[in-house]
Amino acid sequence: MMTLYQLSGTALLGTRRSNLELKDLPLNLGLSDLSSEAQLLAAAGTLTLYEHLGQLPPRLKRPTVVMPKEDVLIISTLASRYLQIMLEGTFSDLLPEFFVSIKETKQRLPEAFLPALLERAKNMYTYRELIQPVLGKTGLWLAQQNPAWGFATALSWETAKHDWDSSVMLIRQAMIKQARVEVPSLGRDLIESTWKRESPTDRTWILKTLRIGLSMEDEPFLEMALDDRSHTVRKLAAELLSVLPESRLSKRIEDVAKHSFSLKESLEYVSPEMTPQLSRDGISQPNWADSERVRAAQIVDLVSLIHLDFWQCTPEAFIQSALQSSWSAAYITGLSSAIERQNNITWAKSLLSQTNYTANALKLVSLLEVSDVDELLSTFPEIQGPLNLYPATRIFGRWNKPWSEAMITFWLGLLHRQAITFPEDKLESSFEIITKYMARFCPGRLIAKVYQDLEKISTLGIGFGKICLEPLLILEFRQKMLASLGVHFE
Amino acid sequence: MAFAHKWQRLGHQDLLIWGDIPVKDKPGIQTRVALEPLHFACSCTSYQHPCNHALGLLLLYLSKPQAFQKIDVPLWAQDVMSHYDFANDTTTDSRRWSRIQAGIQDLEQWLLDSVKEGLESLRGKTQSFQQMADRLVDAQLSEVAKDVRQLASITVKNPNWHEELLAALGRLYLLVEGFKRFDTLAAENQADLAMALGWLPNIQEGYEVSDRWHILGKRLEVEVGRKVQRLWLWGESSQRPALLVEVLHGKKLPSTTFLVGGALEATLQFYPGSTPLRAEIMNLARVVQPHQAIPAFTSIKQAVMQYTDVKAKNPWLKQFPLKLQKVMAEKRDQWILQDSEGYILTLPNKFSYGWHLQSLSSKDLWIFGEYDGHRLLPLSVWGNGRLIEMHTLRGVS
Repeated sequence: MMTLYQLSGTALLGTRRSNLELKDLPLNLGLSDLSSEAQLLAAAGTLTLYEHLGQLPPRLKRPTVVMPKEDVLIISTLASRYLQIMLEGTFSDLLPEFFVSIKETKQRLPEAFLPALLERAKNMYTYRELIQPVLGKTGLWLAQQNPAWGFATALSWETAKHDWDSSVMLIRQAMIKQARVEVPSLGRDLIESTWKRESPTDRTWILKTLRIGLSMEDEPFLEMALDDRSHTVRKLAAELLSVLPESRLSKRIEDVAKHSFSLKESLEYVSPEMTPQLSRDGISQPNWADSERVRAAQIVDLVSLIHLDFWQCTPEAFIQSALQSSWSAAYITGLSSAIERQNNITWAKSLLSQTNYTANALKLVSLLEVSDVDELLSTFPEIQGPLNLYPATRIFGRWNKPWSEAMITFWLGLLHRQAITFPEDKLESSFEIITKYMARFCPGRLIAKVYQDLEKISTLGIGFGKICLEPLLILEFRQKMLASLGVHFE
Repeated sequence: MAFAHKWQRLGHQDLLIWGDIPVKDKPGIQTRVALEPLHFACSCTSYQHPCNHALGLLLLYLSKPQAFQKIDVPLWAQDVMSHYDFANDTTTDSRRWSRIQAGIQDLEQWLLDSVKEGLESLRGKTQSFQQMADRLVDAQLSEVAKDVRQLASITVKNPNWHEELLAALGRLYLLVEGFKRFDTLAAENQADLAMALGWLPNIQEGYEVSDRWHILGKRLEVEVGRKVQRLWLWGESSQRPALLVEVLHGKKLPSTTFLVGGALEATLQFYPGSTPLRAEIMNLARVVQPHQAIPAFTSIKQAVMQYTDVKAKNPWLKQFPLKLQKVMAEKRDQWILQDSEGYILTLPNKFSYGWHLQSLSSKDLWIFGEYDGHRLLPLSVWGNGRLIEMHTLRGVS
């Protein structure tokens, strides 16, 4: 029987160049009166239809795929609707709480959402941590089928290398963070495998990820990075090494510090002799005409690289001494960086309170725990003057972590006082940001109460109504979302 | 808008009313309403459908019909007419008929020339397909124009392009031949052909079906200058599919009244055809929310055989609704669905929801889509106790 493929040979060349021979057609089409072009087209159309209608679908050997059996319940249909809303971008910052609540209520994600969430996690490490426990057996099975989702299964060199060799920076970043959290040495091996061919910009962000799981095992690699061509990379390597008190760099800096600083009533400083080694270790040697600026820059660099244990005194004593010095600004800047890198909460609290929560020290708020903020709140003086200058406002403005009951009471009290005293005042945008943080991070059991209190405050002035609107919506959404997962509070 | 003084010309002809509103220094707003079946069209840029102008025009006609003169239908108002009834041969139909005839002749000549010169001469020449498609649009053959426009993609990066292109040209030629024999065809085949060309045949009595209609899927296609939304329904008692089509011009957005997963208790009026699919809502009693997936084929072979039965009666059929259950999705060279007997259906190239289907295969996968004889385009899937529209899930490449 003639086939469409045979006809297409003539059609390709054209009937002007190639003779049409119609034979063994499956049907008697009565085409003889037509031109050869019409015959060709009519035969093609009919054959197409004939072949099409006569065909059964193809049949393949059925794969022996055994889908895993689940023993954990899936979230409710209502909860999956909330998930859909958040994935579409509304209240998406509540997704972490949603995933944590699924885990706590021993449920799992619906199958239909698994690919989109695995795909999201491919580019964002935070999601990898959050969704992994709630993927269920199906999710883990699915992740095994797609090499791009290897991160969701047990991390191996192959899966890690697959992502690390990707050309997408987000995927590389997510993988290196995961590797550093789960197996720090694997992360370092990944970095070393491509270090020489990375651009200086990439080397910078790659090196920053070594902060996760940093240990003395990373020291040789970081010491090598001190000789990098890029100034930024060298500086970053020095910063990381300064966090490790046993590192060679820490010892070298300590030797310099011993001769440069003397802790008396005020902190005194004698500039060290600049050597190539000191420069390699991250101490600036700027070519500025203003010698005071050069000195200040060196103090900042040196203090930021010195391990806090070196000072051998209480934080209060050291900070007092630094504040007495005529170089206090440089000391505080350097000290603030050292505290942040070394993640030292005691020093952070001390610096925050002794500098009255100035901008230079405020970045240390991120190091604090809820209990630390509760403790600080009790030390705050009675509020006088504008609310935006009050220390608690500055702390809360950077507090995007869980809130304690004391913090909530404190902030609602401040808002209420402001609403009563200055109901018509134009309100700072930071007040709305803080109230949104509170709505997002207040404990689930307090949602109903916070909603009630905030609703009352919202009626005290037009401006207050405006700043409370979105936080109220967040609280309402959270309450319904948690209820849909079966999380109830007495 | 429901006041006569707002309008410049008000006209009516049979079941069509129209009018235009003058706008200073700009083209006027042209509004027309077909009364049976009810259909609104307006040149305004409103996102509401029907817009204030169309509703105003209808209200004005209902309250003051004498304000409308019986005059010839202007060209711009003809798009909402649903006549193909040449026997009645009104002046408008006659003009449209002439245009269509000329368009079909033009298409025939282009097809003949293409195979005379050889398909190689068309390869990569997108412009040739585009020009033919544009001429077909001018001839009010928008459905055929869409097919011609799609031919261009066959010639790109496809080793079997000449075979596929010849098959597509052959199918178009069958349409041309069918049109040439229009008067000799049976009434149902005339209706099938009319719809393939982009007309709507007259609705006739005896095609009404009352049922609970489950909304199984929705597809929006964006074409040059218009959008076409297809809403697929399934009758719970009548066990038959139905298709509601909404054509939107300009920037108008499709109506969101009917949501996939819901059901309508309604009487539908079907357009005639060998296997009537397309329908209009005649009487809507209420919208309900079903809680269960309706039964579907568990055998791909049976589902495809049902399609071939319908296709044999209506060779111009483009999309057919298929629902399947207890199938599994699997990634081979491309995504496929496979049933328990091993029969497979291929899903479209670069299908973004294969992983979703595979994930849902852990349960008995229930899926609904449009089948074109080669590939199934999934539109909805049953998951987590409800019917989910495919496009609302985030695609994964």
